[in-house]
Amino acid sequence: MPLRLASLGIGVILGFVFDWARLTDPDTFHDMLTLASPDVFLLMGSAVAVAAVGVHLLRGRRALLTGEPIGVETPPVQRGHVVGGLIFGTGWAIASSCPGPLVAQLGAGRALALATSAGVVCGVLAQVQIPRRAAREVPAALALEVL
Amino acid sequence: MSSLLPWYVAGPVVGLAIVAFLLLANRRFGVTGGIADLVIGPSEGHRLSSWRVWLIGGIALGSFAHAAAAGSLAPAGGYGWLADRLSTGPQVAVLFGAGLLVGYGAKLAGGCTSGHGLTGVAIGSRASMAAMAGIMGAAIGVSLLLEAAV
Repeated sequence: MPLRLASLGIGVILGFVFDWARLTDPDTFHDMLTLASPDVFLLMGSAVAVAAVGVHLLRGRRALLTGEPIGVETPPVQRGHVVGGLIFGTGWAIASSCPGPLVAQLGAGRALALATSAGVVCGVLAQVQIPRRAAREVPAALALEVL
Repeated sequence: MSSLLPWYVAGPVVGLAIVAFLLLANRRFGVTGGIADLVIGPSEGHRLSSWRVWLIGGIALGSFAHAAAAGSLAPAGGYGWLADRLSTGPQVAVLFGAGLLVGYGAKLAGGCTSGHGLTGVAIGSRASMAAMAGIMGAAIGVSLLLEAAV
C-alpha cells in the first residue's frame, strides 16, 4: 500500500509537470520530432542525466519500502525491442503523444485523446492476442517484460 | 496563455521520479506497464493492486490539477498541427490508428519513451537503447516525412 500511495503522489507531480511543460500539447512533440525545437530532447536528456546519477548512487543499497537490494539488471536485446520501437515511434510521430503525456492529455480534458487512448488499448490487446494465436510459429510469444 | 515550465526544471523532476521509484522499492518507472496492467491485468492480483496503475491515475489527476489551475481545461479547437490539415472526423480516425501503433509497438518493445527512453537508458540497458534507437529513428523520420508531404 505505501508503494501505491507513493506512486499516486509521484504520478500527480509528473502529471502536473507534463501539463505545465506543455507535453499535453501535440504541437510540442510535433516541433520536437520535426527538429524545429530542441526543448523536449533537452528535457529527456536532463531527466536521463539526473536519473543516471541517482542510479549510480543507489546501486547496491536497499530499497526503503521493500528492503530489496537496488539492482539494475538489464535484459538482452531482442528483435521485439527494435521492431516494437519502430512501430511505436511511427505512432508517436502521428499522434504527437506517447503514453505518459497521453494519460496527461486525458486528465487535462483533451477530447481527442480519447481516440488515441482507444487505439492504444486495442493495440495492447492485439499484441497480447496475436502472438498467442501464432504460438506454434513463435514460441514464448515475444513476451518481453514491460516497463 | 498559461506559463511554460522550462525543460531544465521539468527534466530533472522526471529524473528524480525515476530515482524515487528505485529508492523506494527497486521499481522501474514506465507508463506502458501501467496501461498494460490496467488493460490486461497485472500478472498477480487485482488491477488496483498494481502500483503502476496508481501511477497513471496520479498522472491524470496531476494534469487535471494543472489544467484547472491554469484555466486550460478541455482546450477548444482541434488537435494541434493535425487540425490544420484535417477536419474532426478524420482526426479521430487518424488518432485511433496512431494509438493502435503506439499500443502495439510499446507492448511488443516492452516499454515506451518513459520505460525505455528514460529509465532504461539511465540504467544503461542495451535493450532499452536498441528500443529507443528504433523509436527515435521512426518518430523523427515519419515526422519529417509528414511535414514535407502533407
